[in-house]
Parts: sequence; C-alpha cells; structure tokens
Amino acid sequence: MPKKFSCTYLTHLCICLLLTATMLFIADTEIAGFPAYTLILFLIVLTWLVCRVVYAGRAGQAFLSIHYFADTVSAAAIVCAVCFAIGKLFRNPDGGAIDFSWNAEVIALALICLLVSAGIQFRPLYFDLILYSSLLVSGIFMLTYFVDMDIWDRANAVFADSGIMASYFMLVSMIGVYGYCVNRDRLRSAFYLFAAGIAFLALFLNKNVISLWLMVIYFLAVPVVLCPTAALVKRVTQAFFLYGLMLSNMSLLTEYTQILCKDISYAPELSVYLDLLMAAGGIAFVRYWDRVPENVDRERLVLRRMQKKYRFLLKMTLALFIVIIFGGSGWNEFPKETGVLQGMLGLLAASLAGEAGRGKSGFLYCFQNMGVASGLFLIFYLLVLTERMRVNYREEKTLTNILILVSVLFMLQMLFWNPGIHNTAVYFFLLAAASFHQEEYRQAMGVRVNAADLLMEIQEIK
Amino acid sequence: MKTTVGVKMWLTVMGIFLGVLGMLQGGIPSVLAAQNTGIEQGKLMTAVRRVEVRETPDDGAAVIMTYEEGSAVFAIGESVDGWYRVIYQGQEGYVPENALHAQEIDVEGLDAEMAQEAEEARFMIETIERYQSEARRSKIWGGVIVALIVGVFAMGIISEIRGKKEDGHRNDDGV
Repeated sequence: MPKKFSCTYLTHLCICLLLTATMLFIADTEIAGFPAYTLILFLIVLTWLVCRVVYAGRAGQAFLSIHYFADTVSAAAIVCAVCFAIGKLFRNPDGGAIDFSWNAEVIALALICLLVSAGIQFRPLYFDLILYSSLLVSGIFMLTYFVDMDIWDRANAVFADSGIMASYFMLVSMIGVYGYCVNRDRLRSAFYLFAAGIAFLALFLNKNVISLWLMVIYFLAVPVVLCPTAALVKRVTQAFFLYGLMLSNMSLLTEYTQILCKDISYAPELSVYLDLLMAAGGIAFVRYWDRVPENVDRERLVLRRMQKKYRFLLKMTLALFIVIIFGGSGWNEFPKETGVLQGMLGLLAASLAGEAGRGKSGFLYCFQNMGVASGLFLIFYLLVLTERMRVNYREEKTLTNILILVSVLFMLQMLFWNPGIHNTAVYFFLLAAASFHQEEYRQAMGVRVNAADLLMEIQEIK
Repeated sequence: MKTTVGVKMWLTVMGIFLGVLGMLQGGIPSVLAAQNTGIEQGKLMTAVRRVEVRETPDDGAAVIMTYEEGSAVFAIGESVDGWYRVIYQGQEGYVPENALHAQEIDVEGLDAEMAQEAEEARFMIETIERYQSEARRSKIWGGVIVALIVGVFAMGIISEIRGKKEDGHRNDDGV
C-alpha cells in the first residue's frame, strides 16, 4: 500500500470532506425520503470508521478503545440509537415509511466523538476549509439582501431560519477572528479579517440579537482564555472595534439608504449608544495602551492587568445577559425616556429579551423530537464533555483553548435556538477536538515587569 | 372746356371709386360669410336609430353607408331642410336630422379625466424609472459582493501558497 494512503491521511481526508460538505450543503433536501445531509454525514463518518478499523494494528494505530468516561457515553449513545432504530422496525407492522434520520444523526455524532478521542492531529487547515466553504454561502446570503431577483426564492427558503444561520455565521466569525489574532503574515491576516468582516455583515443582516450578544461575549473572552500577549490584545481589540463600527452603522444602511431589498430595521438610537460605548471603551483602552513601551516584542509581553479588566468586563456582560434574559417581556415597560443610560439599557434589553422569548431551544427540540430520555442523555453527555474540556484546558494551548471557547458558545446557543444538524456536526467535531485533542505546548516562564522599569531597561539597551 | 372735361373725368373716376367702395362694403360680410361657410363647424352627434347615409338629401337617393344605433356621427354645419351633412372617411353624405341627437359633452369632466390620466401616466413613468434605477443599483451591489467574495477567496489561496513556499524555503535552508 503506498505510504500516501496511511490511516492519518485518510482520516485527514474524511475530516476535510466532512467540514466542506457540512459548510456547503445547508439546504434541506431529501434522497428517497431521507434527509440528504444526514445521509452524507453518516456515510463520511462510516468511511472514517472503516479506515480506522482496517488500519487497526498497523504502524501504531490502535482500534477504537475506551480511554475516557466520555468514550463510554459515546458508545452507549450508539448502542441506544441502534436499539431505537431496531425498535422502530418492530413497532411498524403496517410497513409504512419510518424516519431513521435522528438515529443516523446520533450515531454519526457519537462516532465523531469516538474517532476524535482515538487520536487525530487537528490542523489549522480545518479552520481554513470552514472559512473557504462559508465564503460561497455568505456571498449568496448577502446577494439575497442586496439584489432583488426571483431566483433567490429557493435561497430565501434555505436562509429562512435565523437561528440556524446565526450559528453558521457565528462559527465563521469566531474562526476568522481567531485566525486574525494568531496569524502574523500580513496577507493571511487580511484574509482572516475580511472573512470575519463578511461573516459580521451576514450576522447583522440575519439580525438575531442573541447571536450579536454572544459575539460580544466571544470578543471579551478571547484575551481571557488565551495568553493575553500585547499582540493578541491589540488584534482582538481591532476586530472588536470593526464589529462595533459595522453594527453601529447598520441603522444608517437600513433606515437612510435604499440599498437593501429586504425589510430589516435597526433603531437609529442603537447607533448612538454603540458609538458612545465604543468611544468610552476606546478611551480606556488607549490610556492603558499608552503605557506599553514601543520597542518591545509584543509577542512576549503579557498584559495580565488588561486580562483582569477583560475578565471583569466578561463577567459583567454575562451577568447582564442573564439578568435581561430572566427579565423577559418585563423589559418592554422599562422607561427609556429618562436618560441616556436608561434609554440604552431599555433598548438593548427589550430587543434581547424579545428575541429570547421568540426562539425554541435546541434542548427543547431534542426533548420533543427524540424523547425525554434522549434529551436528558444529551445534557448529561455535554456535561461530561465540558468536564473533559476543563481538564484539557491550559493557558499555553492556544488552539485547544479557542476550541473550548467555541464549544462553550455552541452550548449557549443551544439554550436559545436549534442550530440544525449541519451546524451541530461541525460544532460537535470542534467540541470533540476541544475535549480530546492533545496539543503540544511549551510551558512559558513569566517575569513580572513594571512598565516604568521596562522603559528604563529599553533606554539603557539603546 | 378742359376744366369741364377734367372735372367730369374726375367725377367719373370718383364715382366709380365710390361705387366700388360701396360694393365692397356691402359685399364684405357676405364674402366673409361665404368664407365662414368655407370653414364649416362640425359637431359630434349620436344616431338614435339605425339610419342610412344617402348621397343627396333625398329619401330616394343612393345609400352610401349605414350607421347603427348609438354610433358617433360627425355632422358638418347645421341641418338644412331637415338633413344633416355628415362626413365619414372622406366621404360626404346626408342623414335625416331626426335620426341624430347632439352629444352633450361635459367639457370640465373631460378635462378632469384627462388631467387624472396625465397624472397617472406621470406616476407610472416615475415608478418605472425608479424600478430601473433600483435594478441598476442592485446589479452594481451584486457585482461588488461577488468581487469581494472572489477577492477574499483569492487572497486566502495566494497567502496559503506563499506560506507553503516560505515553509519549503525554510526547510531547505534548515537542511
């Protein structure tokens, strides 16, 4: 057998196929009454399993073994799904059509977790594939808003569910921002920033308010979960500023131009409040940034105090988020005319609480369609994987930490809407990678330095 | 003698002149009238019954054409001896006056109707122009979006290829 067709290569191929097919094939079509995407997902994962089984025992490739408790839970999920499928066969004496789609989906997702835990090398190419594939979908999505043509009827039907599209574009945004933060090549950084910018615009056009808040949480969390080097903090703040600037100008686009063909609306007051917040945040950031010496390697300078401030802001935003969600429709009666702060809070809270009340949680969807036991099993499974992620977390592991952050935000999304099987497959792969990927890292030695002392040292060196 | 001849001649000329002048003054209205009848006024009338148009104003004259009840008929001038002179596709004929009824034209109503139609036509033109400009704008924005997506995609591919080349050079230098 040629060296090229090793188990690692075939695994890598299956993963590339899985990610590309998932990001491109978002339409709900059926083949012989079976959802087409579920069939593709099942076949790809089965192929991956077959490769693993065929190459078991060769060149150090072990057969799928149960190392962790999560593997046991995955195996139990597969067994339960198979048993349920067999039960459906026996409980259908009339011989009518039986829906095996969710059985296939559960088996595929559980197999993904098992296969990833058996050991894969998570490559940055996987993120790039997600971005490349999403560019086509993002382009078509934006064209339906900017160009009025009858051929978009089919596309509009695909993009109708704002929850599913929010999950999709959130994933692209998060990966784009991460790529921009860690990559140092100028052209490559520009690619990541543009891809993220396109995803931001798509998110704003989709207008799912919860997704906009979750992205803010993501921006605040990046310097907290990753090592807050000066370079990283600068880049994530730049991306955050781009996000805020685009969002604050959406009301101009929707209310004062006739560029969009669809009817979406952003309150003009939102622009004012966002600009005020960005101005205040910008002043605070620049005052702190002025203390960073100029001729210092920003990759080696770690801003712990800045990280503390970001952690505080993250906690405040999360607390405010929870308070507003629990407030529910009561926020509609909050007085908005008594001042700037009241107006800002009233507007932001009313829109967020309204959106939360409209959606149907992904967990509720599981309970309704797969049964109470299956829903509880899913929650238990996610808790087990969360514990695995907690164990796998280490500040020096950049890739693992960002996978953990993306996975946590995926679980938060599930509380508010159903992400759909397409997004769930990709997020589950990233969730499994966050839980089981053994990233190589070097433990960093840190020296606490006073900014004034650092400045003196630099001058002495000069 | 010469004076008498001169006076007579002068008087004759004056007399002729005055006579012609008198003739002219008396005859101008009739000439004008004759000219006015050349610019004959027409009016739109309606046939109250099925009526035949004849060559001459005579019941026994040849029939040129027939108007059905309710047809619009253009009558020239006033009725003469109980007959209206009508004209149709360049052909003249005569119709009994009791077969035609003058149409009452609501001039103000017609003016208002025409003004409304002009307004609607103007609105339709503005709407069509607006749709055309929107279609033009949509095409421009569609082109911008497609160019942006293609540009970003190309940026990604080029940077990836360049990165691999640099890694290759670095590995070669390392070796």
